[in-house]
Amino acid sequence: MLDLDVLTNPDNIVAAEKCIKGLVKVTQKVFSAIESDFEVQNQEMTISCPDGIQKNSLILKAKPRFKNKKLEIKSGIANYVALRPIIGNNICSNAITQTETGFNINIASLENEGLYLLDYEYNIDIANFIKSMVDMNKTFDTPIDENPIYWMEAKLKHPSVLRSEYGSFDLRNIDFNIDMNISGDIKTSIPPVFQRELNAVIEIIKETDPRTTIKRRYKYLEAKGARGHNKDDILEVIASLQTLFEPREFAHYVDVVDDFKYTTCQRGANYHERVPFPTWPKFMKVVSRTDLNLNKCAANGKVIYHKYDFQEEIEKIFGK
Amino acid sequence: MLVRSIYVPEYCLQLEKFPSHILWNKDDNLSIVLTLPKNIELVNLYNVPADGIELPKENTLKLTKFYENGYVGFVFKTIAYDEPSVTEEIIFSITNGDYTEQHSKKILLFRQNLKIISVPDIIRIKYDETKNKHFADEKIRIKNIGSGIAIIESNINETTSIKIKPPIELLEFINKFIKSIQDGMVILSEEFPNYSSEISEFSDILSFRETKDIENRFKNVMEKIEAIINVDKDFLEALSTKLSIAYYQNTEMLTEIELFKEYLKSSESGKILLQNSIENISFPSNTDEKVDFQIIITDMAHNTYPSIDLPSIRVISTEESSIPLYDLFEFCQQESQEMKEIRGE
Repeated sequence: MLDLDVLTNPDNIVAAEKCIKGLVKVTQKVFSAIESDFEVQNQEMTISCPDGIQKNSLILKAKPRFKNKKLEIKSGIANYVALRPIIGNNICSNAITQTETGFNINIASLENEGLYLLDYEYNIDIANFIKSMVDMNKTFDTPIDENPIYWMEAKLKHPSVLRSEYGSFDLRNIDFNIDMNISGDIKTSIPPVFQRELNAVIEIIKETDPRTTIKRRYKYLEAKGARGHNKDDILEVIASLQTLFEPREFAHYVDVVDDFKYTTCQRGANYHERVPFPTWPKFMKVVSRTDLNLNKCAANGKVIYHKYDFQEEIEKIFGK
Repeated sequence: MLVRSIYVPEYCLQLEKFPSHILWNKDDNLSIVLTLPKNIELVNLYNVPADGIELPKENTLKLTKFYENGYVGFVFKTIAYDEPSVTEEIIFSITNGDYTEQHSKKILLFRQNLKIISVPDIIRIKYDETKNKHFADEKIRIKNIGSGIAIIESNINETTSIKIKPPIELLEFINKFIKSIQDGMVILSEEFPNYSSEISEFSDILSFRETKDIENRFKNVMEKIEAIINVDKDFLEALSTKLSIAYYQNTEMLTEIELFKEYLKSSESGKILLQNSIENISFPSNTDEKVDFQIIITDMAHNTYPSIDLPSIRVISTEESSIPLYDLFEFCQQESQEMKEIRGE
């Protein structure tokens, strides 16, 4: 029997409301402080997830007569505040003074009936915010061997909470990580002779008897000679392989499609190992992003791994 | 079509959760009837008030109200099936009062399926003079005929004189490496005080190698770390940097090459990952005893499957010897049924 309380999770709605309440409070303080001298013509309220900030942009029209010389806005210490005229790009440098309790707008430097853009940013507890607002799901594995595809989905848990009397909040650039399995791909593309060469090098390094070292050195050169066109030293080959895992290189073998966009990738620490060696990744972590808001409550996307192109590149390193 | 989209992923690991959502025009008032197969459970429902849910019959859910019109979200949970590959179907019946349409969404629920192909009665540890190393004359042959990756770890009975442990040349590196990670985690805790308890658990688990409930504990810790790195890219970068620094502080040319070799061996087939591949199995001189091997299986989502106890193997080694653990195994490759179907075979 389905438990409706578990399903609809009312406790979580309360937590989400609490998160938004803090953001609305800032907006409320700004609105009530400026209403005597400005009319808010338009606004955008966004949560920039990677930066963990609440960003608000207000288009303000100054009233025909100012009632105050200075407006004190006690909305807490802001990360960033700027006021600029809509026409022209110059920030009104004297118009804003940041204070210990928020910021002041110095009216004296502004024109009556002028149009202004007020931007202000505040830090928020983003981890808690995302946890309360967004349900994130992804596949941990894929049954597709050829060009594996990993799905991901993000959706709002309680969209109505994003709506406030001042407008609705948009969530921008919600990060999503997918761990792609690449463990078998290097092995598949490496010629068996290179593995003989690896063994030979290990034997040389371990050998303490100089006479035997010469024999082992010969065995190593023999294995190296059989490798192919690329005659680089083994450490150079290993170093070339390592560069394939650099974000700029590996990005060539990844596509992110549908509602998500590719951001970056990095070597996945081998969390499935007891000792997570970071040097030879069995997984690559692909980071992609999506936006959610009241007009787009859910997003789904795919990370496609172009495995064969990656394997082809490895083969080139070995001079195949 | 009454809705803009219905999303259900095409596949999911068995035992895992999978999401679904429906989007439609905000101006349309719809009711949605969901019919679930008996093995799929609805665990979360988003944007529906309790008085908007009706349960007309078992495994059927009718949704009539939404906080914000135009969207409903679901999370489902799957079970472990007897079969490694099962296709389930969810039916969405959607009506606006005048018109009803039905949408069927299929999902493939897959998992690893590790099979023991053969276990030798006797394994003799011999010496290869040309290669200057010991080797096993027979191997335990296993293959994964399922679609998911099987992460395996091999243990032996504690009563035997044969021991599984990291090779001496790497042991020092591993200990130093773990120590460096743990030092790095102390700094990370100062940089990210909000996550200090999770960082501390991560640091602790690296030292626990023999605990019986290690799998559950490991899964628990990694889920916590993954939950943080999913929402905090700065933390992900800081953690990766600390792990890299720990590695490069301790690595030498030999470890670089040895680890590369281990890396290749542990991923013999993309569908089987040997977790403790870095370890060696050591035999005292004049070894002649029965050894019980156990294979512990997990998947990419850290789910644990019933372990496999192999029939006892008589192991003979006349001289003191040591071989890499992976040398005892042969991973056989076999294409999964799904891949054959995708290829149209």
